[in-house]
Amino acid sequence: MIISPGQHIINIADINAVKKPFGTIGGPVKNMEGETVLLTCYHCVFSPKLSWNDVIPAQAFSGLCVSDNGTAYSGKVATIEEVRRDDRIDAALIKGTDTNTIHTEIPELGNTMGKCLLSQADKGKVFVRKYGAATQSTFGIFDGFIPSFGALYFGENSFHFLGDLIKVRSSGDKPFATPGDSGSFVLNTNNQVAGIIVMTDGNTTYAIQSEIIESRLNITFI
Amino acid sequence: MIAERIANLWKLYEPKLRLKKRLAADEKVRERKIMWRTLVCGWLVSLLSGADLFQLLKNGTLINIFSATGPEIARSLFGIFLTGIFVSLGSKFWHDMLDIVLQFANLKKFQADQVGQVSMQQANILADEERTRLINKTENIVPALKKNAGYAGYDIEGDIATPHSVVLKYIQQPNKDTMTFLQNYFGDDKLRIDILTSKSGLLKK
Repeated sequence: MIISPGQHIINIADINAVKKPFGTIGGPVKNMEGETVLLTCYHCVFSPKLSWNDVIPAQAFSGLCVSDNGTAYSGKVATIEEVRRDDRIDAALIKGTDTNTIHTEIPELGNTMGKCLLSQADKGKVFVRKYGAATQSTFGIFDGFIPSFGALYFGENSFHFLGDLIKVRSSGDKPFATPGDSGSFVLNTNNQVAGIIVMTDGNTTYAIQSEIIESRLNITFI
Repeated sequence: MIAERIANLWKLYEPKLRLKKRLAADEKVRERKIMWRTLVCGWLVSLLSGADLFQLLKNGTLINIFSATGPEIARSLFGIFLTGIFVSLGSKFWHDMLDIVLQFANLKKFQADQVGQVSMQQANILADEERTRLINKTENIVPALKKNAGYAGYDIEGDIATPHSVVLKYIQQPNKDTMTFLQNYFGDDKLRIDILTSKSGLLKK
């Protein structure tokens, strides 16, 4: 089976749930060893058997299933290689199991072209787009950075806060992202990765900066 | 250009003026004679076309010298006399002069752009400083804010055109004591409370 950006992804622990809680496979990156792996949010592939403080999760609980349409899910086709959740990042690296290959092209958007650095001065000037499993391809406008925004993570009683998130507002009537789009890459018009989608407050979508992900996970955007 | 052409034609019809002289003194005499002819041509062209320098500078229009009356005639004739001198300077002179004027205009525009860019950079720096100041001020009380029920984060609004303010995000209205504290701490004009909708949170379905 081919594992591809834009697909629905869930932990195999959720495969029997009636309403399978899915996120999106964002896109390809190179890990420390130079291998091509896929990036998404940790909360997209989290299972109650794992801990939010894990870095290398237990392999027994890191099997992943994917789906092209959200209805028919595969068996275990990928595993979580490394995860990180702290005050700046919520991300997971996933790789295909031996018999499954990784596809790197994002549907409707194409291949990524490295990363881009945005600054507060770019606010309102940079158009961005994403392809997510829930809302597919949408367009938005970079709206600066939010210093701190929190959400309730599974199994926790208080908000977990992430700092210096990218804000994206929709450029049309359609929201830029809705639940299920977590993990999607936010690309500029040159297909450079600005960040990955993580949270929303209804009108605004928040994404973790690609620069922060690179430094925390020791990866490179390709 | 017309005056220059006529003067050239005149020069070519006179054998003494056509060729350069071997002796420097003779060449000077030839040059002087050519200059006088060029001046005469310039005056004639200015007179016949009514190019009064004063009128040209004032209204950018030509005059009809033959319908002028009284003291106007003397002034217009003097204006035409001056125009003739300028006209006799030739097309090369005016081409070079135009180049200088254009270069000067471009330089002024470049300087104005530079000043605009510097002003924009300064405005961006000031906006960044104000944003950083408000972030630092908010970070001082973030540990206390996190203990508030429903606190979900904060943002800084504003840019180089609009004043900066702190936007505190809550999933429910903070209580009265908290509101009083926040208003005193930030000031009414620097604080906004944003109550989030139920759609807020992680984007996992």
